[in-house]
Amino acid sequence: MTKDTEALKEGDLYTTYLHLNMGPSHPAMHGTVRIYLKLDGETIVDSDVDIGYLHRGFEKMAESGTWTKVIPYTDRLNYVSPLINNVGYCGAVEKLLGIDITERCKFIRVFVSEISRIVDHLTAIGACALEVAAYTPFLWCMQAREEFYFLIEAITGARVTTSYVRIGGVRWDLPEDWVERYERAEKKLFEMLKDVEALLTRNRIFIDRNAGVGVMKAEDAIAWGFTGPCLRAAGVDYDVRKAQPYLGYDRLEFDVPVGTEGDNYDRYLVRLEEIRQSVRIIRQVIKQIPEGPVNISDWRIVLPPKEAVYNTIEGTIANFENVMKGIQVPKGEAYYAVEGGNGEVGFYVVSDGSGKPYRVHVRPPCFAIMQALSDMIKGRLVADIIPTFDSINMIGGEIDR
Amino acid sequence: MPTLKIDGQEITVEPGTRIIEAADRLGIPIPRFCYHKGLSVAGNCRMCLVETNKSPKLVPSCYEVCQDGLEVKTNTERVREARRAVLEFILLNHPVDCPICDQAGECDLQDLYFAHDAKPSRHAFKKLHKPKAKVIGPHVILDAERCINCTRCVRFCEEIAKAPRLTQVHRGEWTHVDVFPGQELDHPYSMCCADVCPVGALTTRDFRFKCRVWFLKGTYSVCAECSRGCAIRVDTFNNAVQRIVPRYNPLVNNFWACDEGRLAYHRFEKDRVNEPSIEGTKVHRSEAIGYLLQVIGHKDVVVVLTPFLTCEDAYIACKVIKTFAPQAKIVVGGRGQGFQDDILIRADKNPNRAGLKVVLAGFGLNLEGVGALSTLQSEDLGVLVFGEEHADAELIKALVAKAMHSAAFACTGKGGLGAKAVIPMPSPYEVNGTFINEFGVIQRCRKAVEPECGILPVWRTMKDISEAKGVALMVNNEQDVFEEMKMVCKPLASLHFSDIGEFGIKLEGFSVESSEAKA
Repeated sequence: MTKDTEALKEGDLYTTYLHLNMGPSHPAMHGTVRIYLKLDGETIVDSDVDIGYLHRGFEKMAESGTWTKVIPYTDRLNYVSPLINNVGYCGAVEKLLGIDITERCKFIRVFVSEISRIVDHLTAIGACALEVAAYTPFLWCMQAREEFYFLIEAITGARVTTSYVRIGGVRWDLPEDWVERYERAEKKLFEMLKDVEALLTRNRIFIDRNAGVGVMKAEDAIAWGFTGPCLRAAGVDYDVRKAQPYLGYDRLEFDVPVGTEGDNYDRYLVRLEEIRQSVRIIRQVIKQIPEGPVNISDWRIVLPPKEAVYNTIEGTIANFENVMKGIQVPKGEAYYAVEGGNGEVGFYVVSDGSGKPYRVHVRPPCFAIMQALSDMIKGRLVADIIPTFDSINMIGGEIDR
Repeated sequence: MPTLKIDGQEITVEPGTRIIEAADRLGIPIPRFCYHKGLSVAGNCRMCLVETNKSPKLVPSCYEVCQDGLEVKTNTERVREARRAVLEFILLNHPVDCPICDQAGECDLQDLYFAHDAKPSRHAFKKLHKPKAKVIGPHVILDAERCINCTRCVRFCEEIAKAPRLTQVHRGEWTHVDVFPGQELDHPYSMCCADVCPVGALTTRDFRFKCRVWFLKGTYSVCAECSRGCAIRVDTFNNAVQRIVPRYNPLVNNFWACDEGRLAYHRFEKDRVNEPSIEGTKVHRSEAIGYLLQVIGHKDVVVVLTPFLTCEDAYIACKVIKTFAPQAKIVVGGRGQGFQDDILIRADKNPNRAGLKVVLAGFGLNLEGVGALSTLQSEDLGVLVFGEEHADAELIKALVAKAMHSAAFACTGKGGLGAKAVIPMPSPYEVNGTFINEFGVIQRCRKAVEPECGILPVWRTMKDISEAKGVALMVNNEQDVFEEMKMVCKPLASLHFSDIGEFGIKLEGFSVESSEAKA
């Protein structure tokens, strides 16, 4: 209904709503999203959130190769925390296979997950700052993130396209100097965080732009299907690592930060605190990680070691069959969820008994959250979209797959 | 009729059935190396061992005959241990050849090891060395280290090929398969030895190192080298035939095919006619059609069909000729008689003579040979020849020389027979159609290779002739042709093109001219 259908008083100017297209190509629209706005001046009357611009057919592509071939695709889901996706997918297939990984592998997976989480939150906090024109804290976050990327590169060989985790283990053991490398990154992290917090947390402009903006209360958040920092900022104490522990998280001590207002500012604080909790987890992992093999010894699932592959017929055959025919996963279905940077990342895998997946479905946490964006910005100004959208931390690769 | 239980599933079988056959019927997988449905039972690999209630020891299911009240278990821990042990022993001296072995990707040893063992090696010593890459025949090469001594090849040569050329030599861990000194693996079915070999010990020289098997696309088709019409699978990659292997067809050839038929694809690899030409100059297709109209427009027209044509090609050709050149004399040429044995090879070296007989009968014609034209005198002659290999080539060439307009459909440059116009013809691997073999089995020949764009099926060209004369034929593909053909050809009346499955169909009311051969 446009304004001009209402009775116009004499002397009124003819007005109508402004239909403004924000995105998909827009500096503030992370990972290509289109928000179609119906504006009354600067006020948002209604909006339509349009996703799918980064849809690359991940779930369909997963059906065309073997189980192992899906792993590089999972890197490209949430591309700021790719290791968490790797862990989630491999965990789902291991659940379907009914196998248990080695102790050392569990701790390694926890370690890389938490590092990825720190990177994800640093990116989110940095972007929150950047888009309300706080350029300096953004660059500081990026500096801290760089140290973690150096660490990830030393472990996996790549910064973003890690493909580190394998079904039944990980690609290779951690490098020998991983503790020193981590400690260097942690030192830089706290240096930067101290300054970032100093500039942002009690910053008048930051608070004005973020506090009370993009409010999502607990009841609505649960109804929408929120998980992760957005849900916890609303006051709901739900973390997959505590609710459905995996990889031995129940042996580790950590707290789950919970907010009260459910606004952008709370989301920022929750993420900040989660970085510190991740550090706490990592410190425990460093103390508790056992020695031992990283991969299980069943050659039907993991590739045999290269000395065996090149020198024995058994190794050659096992490697050949594993690569060419794929891991023979028995018929069945499994759902495995991990706590990602944005919430519960779920992998639903279905096997038809052959070496190829029948179906791989990803539950992207930001999918549920983006549904609510329209509600969160209704009635507010265009300028409020930016910090709200940032604090949701929608990752295009994850939501569109 | 004994009734037994395998893994809890009950089945009743004919007396004398082995347990492994009963399990195959139930779909219960029992691994095996030496057992082959087409050969005698050896029972030496011990891979098919199962647990039964009638014996304290594990029994080889390929040897044990089904009895009443037998309860067989194929997946207990004892059975699984036995399989692991068998595989471990086989792999002790097996060379690490997978990267260079042709069998990789279709190797029973690879597949069974991964499915039933997958344990690392416990062998701490050097492996034995045996003859490697030894040429043992014109078509087969032996890598003795890979041999697992299943004796399938030995049994095949003895029982099927009736030429015992192979044997196990030496003993103990030195045992492997070899030819007798001074002899060769020279019988006409030598490449089947490479087919039955479950590992890469015997491989064909024709396919050695040519292509990895997982790149191959298999097309079920029919061999066109003799009137047996063995069921084959044509494996292609990059639109080129890489190899031909026999397919199981209990109606025609069981599991086997002869070497000659499997190597015939080389004939069509080069020197192909891919554009029409008139008197040596390449012309456009429409010009060629125009020339063909002139050929069949004469007072006297001779059409030499070839039994290389599929039934569909022959049917449209006859139909168009009879419609627009009712005065034409239609004869059937083709390759002559050759060697015949009582295994698979037939003397008639053409795939579809019986099919042509059926098609011609549909037009009320008898199948006459080229010899019927020897007395032909004419001043106004047009000659149309199909196919390039004719036993009566001289006679045809003489006729062509006498003709004012002459055209020949040919696959390669060797064809043409002196005709003024040469029209491209697809090879048997490039056609969709049906062949009827000497014993009345109709089988589907399927297109394995996409021919070059100038080479169209024969029936297409004949249809173009009809359209040039203003009569459109209501057929768009071979299925349409078949459905039309079966209206006039009685033996085909109850069939459907798409129902002629993997094994073909034995036609009713078909007289068998020669005796059934064993195999």
